Amino acid sequence: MAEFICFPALQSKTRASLDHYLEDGGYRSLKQALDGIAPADLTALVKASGLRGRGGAGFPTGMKWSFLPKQQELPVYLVCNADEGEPGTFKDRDILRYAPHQLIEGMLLACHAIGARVGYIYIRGEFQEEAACVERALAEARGAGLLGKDILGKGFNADLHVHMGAGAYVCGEETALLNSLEGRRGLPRTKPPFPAVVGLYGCPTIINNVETLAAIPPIVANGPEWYVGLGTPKSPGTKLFSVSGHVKRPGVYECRMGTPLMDLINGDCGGMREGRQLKVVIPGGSSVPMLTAQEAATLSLDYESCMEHGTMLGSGAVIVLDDTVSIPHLVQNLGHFYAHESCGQCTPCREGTQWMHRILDRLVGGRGKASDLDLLLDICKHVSFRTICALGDAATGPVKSGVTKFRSEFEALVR
Amino acid sequence: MAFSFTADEGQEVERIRARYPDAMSATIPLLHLAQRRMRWISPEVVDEVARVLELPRVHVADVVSFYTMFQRQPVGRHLISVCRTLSCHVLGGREIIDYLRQRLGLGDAHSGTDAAGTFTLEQVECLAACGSAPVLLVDGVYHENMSLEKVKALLDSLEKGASLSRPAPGEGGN
Ligand SMILES: Cc1cc2nc3c(=O)[nH]c(=O)nc-3n(C[C@H](O)[C@H](O)[C@H](O)COP(=O)(O)O)c2cc1C
Ligand code: SF4
Ligand code: FES
Repeated sequence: MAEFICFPALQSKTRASLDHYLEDGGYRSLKQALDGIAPADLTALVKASGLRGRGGAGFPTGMKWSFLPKQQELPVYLVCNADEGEPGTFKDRDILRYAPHQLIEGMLLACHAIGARVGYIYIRGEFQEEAACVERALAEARGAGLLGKDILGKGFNADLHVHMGAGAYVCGEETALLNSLEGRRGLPRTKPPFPAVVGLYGCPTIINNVETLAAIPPIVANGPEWYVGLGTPKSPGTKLFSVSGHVKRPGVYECRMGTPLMDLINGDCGGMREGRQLKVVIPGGSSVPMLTAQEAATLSLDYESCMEHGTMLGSGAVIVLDDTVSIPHLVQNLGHFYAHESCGQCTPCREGTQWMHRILDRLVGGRGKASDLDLLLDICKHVSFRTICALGDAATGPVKSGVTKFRSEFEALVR
Repeated sequence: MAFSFTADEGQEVERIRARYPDAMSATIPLLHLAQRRMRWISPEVVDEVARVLELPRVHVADVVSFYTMFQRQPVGRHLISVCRTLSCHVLGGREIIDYLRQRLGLGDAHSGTDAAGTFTLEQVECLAACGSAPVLLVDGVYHENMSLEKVKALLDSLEKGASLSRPAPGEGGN
């Protein structure tokens, strides 16, 4: 069952004023860190907690921070990724609305650890109300001496700014996000160099997801061992899951890593709609391979179980669909998404997503050919791992898993 | 129609610029600022943003063309942005889109403005509110847990000239 351990505000869903947050022990971790945790020790602490990036890739956060060049003249930037574009994901929105101070405290802790004096919060353009919540929290923090110059009287300076996106899924990709923040089109950059070395304005930059940064204050307050103990050996801690689709109670739930998927679906989410059967689960956002009901029955919500099941935990977006859903239709819907969102820079992604979209349209429209099924799989092969960013690969996730696991439904369309 | 930022907006422009070490970073924020009043990005808005930031006009035009939230044509009195992605799609979003296309008389078109210029429909990708699908925006404000009936009632009241109350920060949707 869900337990709101690191994100209590997401359970109560109350508006989070600074006073409330302070009453609940807010900004104590920041004070503790500025009082006596050296930046390198704070990075080591986050490393020891085993916290992994919650934006999708699951990269260990402390390790990412330690990739910053040790000695250099340029300023270091912190960027919070609040683009929340992966279909099925809506957890960061709740942090922005209900726990903005927890995010701000997490960002200030990160600034202390990495030596950043300026941080940007890149929020997707549609989140006007959410951005207003963050702006209000920033103003409150500034007024209380928790942001800006000489924070808490400890001689620590750091400022945070909101930057709104303008509608482009690809801008959630970290290097596209940097281009967008610099005022350009959101085209992903080739890596290396990685942003930790050459990032915003050519300076070393750390980019972390909202949930990643907001998890840091409770980790500092309770210690890394506590966090490790919440999860499984390879997936420490808790994670937010955005559950949508055909369950009775969709929503954002915090679960310990290792929680059985079906506990979340049948417990917190109240099971499937009346009289319906589970058919398919996409456990980590639209980009990850889907699972049949049978496969889903044995999945636990952690990185290693997802890997054993041939899928990924991704952003923790659990899309649950019942037996009313046609898989070709589902794949067509997502095929359209990726064709629409490809930035067009790499030929395999631009052409591949367009062709997959067109083929899926004609299959679902009853104009397909028997050979289209293998053609789709062949296109996937030519897109995967041949592109600048991971969007191309993401586009193949639903197509490959859908056509392979539910082949008979596709065959029925061309008979 | 010529466009220039008002005095109030000019102060906002300065606040925005101060956030970044490089003026180019203000491109998207200034376009948002202009669109808030003008409701679309006319060629004159592009001129003004380029002039204020001392950037080549082609740079600003290029940015406008990349981001879907920037309207490159005038929109009707109300802009309705309906999510077409999976979770909304399977929970009634598809029927809402069909209904809106028919009500606006758009024929085969996926998006567009009705003859009276009251509503512009656009189909957008996942709005990060899938837990309360189906979802749509009216003039940028989230409307969640929608149904065909609620959409009909919403458009009826907007057509009669009702103004939408914006939820206070933190109280939007659920
Ligand atoms: C196409 C694409 C879209 C992405 N969208 C998001 C997003 O909306 N939010 C996010 O936090 N990360 C997103 N990511 C992942 C980021 O590139 C990056 O890994 C992440 O922000 C790093 O933060 P983390 O280590 O804290 O997860 C996306 C990646 C790709 C390839
Ligand atoms: S993989 Fe696709 S989205 Fe990513 S850079 Fe290449 S064309 Fe653009
Ligand atoms: S699918 Fe519609 S909001 Fe996510």
